[in-house]
Amino acid sequence: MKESLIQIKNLNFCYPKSNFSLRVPELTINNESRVALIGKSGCGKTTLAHLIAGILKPNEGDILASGKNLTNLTEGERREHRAMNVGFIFQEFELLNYLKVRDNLLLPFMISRKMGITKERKDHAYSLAKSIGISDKLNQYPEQLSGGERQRLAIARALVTDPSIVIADEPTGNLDSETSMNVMQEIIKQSTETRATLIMITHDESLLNLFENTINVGDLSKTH
Amino acid sequence: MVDDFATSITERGKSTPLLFGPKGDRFDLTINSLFFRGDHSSELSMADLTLLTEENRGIMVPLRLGFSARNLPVIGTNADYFTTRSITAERGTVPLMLGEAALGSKCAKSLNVQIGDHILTDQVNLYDLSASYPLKLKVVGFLNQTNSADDNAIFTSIETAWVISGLGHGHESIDDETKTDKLLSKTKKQITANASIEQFIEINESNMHQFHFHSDPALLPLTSIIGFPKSRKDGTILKTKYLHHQKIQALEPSKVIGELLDVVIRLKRLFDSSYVITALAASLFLTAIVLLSLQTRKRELKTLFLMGCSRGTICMIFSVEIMILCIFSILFALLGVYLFTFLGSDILQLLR
Repeated sequence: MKESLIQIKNLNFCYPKSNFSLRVPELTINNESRVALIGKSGCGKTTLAHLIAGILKPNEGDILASGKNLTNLTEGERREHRAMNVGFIFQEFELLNYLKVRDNLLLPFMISRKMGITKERKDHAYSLAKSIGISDKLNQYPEQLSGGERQRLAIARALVTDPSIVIADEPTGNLDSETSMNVMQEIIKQSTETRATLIMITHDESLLNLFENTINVGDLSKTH
Repeated sequence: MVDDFATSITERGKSTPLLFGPKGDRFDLTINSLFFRGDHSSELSMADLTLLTEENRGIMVPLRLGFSARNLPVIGTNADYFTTRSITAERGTVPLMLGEAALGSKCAKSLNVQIGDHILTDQVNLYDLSASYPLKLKVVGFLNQTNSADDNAIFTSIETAWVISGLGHGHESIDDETKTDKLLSKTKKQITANASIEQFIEINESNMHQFHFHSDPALLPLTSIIGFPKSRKDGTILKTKYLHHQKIQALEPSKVIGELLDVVIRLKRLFDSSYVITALAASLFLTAIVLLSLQTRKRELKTLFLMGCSRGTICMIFSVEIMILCIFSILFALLGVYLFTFLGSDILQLLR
């Protein structure tokens, strides 16, 4: 049986000056598992992902992730937790076009105050780039890459710090079903290799059979 | 810079009590006659000088302008000019004889010539082959420094100026012994030479007597006449006399320069006030650029934040960018100001 990585208890969150609130009485996500967050638009999928990542702080309740209770951490500590333990894959990849592929890949190390860029980390990043098939593009700019290469760069950037959690926010939202499947398989392959827990927000039901667990956020105890 | 310019040209105006010239733009006439700049007319004549002199109300100094040597203005005048302006020859003499030239103090330095050397006047009209030839002027003196336009001028006698303009000339003598191939016509009363006759381009002791003027001496042209009246009363009478003259205007250069400076100072004030407006506009423009940049990079900033970048780091990135922008803007602005100051100063220097 897999060890639990994320445990949520009696979570209550609401945005300031908004009627929206998210309640999660209890939720457990196992280590190295693949979880899909589904639900109607506005049900709180992204909010839940942001709470797990430590971007948002709950009003009540506890979120235990990577052995830490995020509720008790300061903003700076949550930010460092995010930089070290969470990888993000965005719908539009959000690569920085004015940085070379190499620098985009090393960006998470630059952001983290604790990690920084060392030779070992560079070597690790380049070996990841090699395994994902973009090692010959390191000196190019993202705009010079094909769509597929950009996707792989975004995946590599999310995994370069060996995060325990990878949050993918609808990375296949704009793609056709065949390409979506290819991208998902690449994400799953790479996250499995790095033994990360994959939490993906998606509307695409055809992809759900790729996940061990599917959580309908709308079914969690939510009120408007 | 403007203050130095104002002091310099005001002094020049004060040292020139009255100025007589053809009717027209008073600013042009003043700038031409006091600073030797701009286009010159020759609508006055020696007859006008004679009339003014006969009034016996002061010293009247003729000026014939419009010529140059090595791009420096050549001023035709008489010895009174040097006396009335307290100009003396630091070395050599002032120009008294036909073909002689004395150099202003800065001219002497820039032309790098010695007394006894020759300088050639510039062709009056390069494309008119029938026009007068350049004339070799003999340098006879270097004038003392006056910190005025006189320092940048070459002075000759008024007669030399007429020779430069082509009104007077010298050539080999034409008489019964002159070869027929050099003659256009020959009668008992008159011999007319053709263009093959040799014209002198240098005036020296051996050919000076062969220089002559064909026109009526009273009609020989002048550019303007500077008047140094004996008294204030004489000056007022002279000025009043020419108040309604058909052809000649009498000016008090100090007043004309005062008007000119008034315009310059107003322009300076306008520029000064525009600095504030420009600075304000530049600040607003910079703010707009920063806000626009923030707006267009909103997603990038959000991405960095989601990935764990602190707000402080994001602010620092933007601050450094703005600093770089400001540093380059200031450098470009300083370069612009330096160039403007340098060129502006140069232009004002030319007007002195």
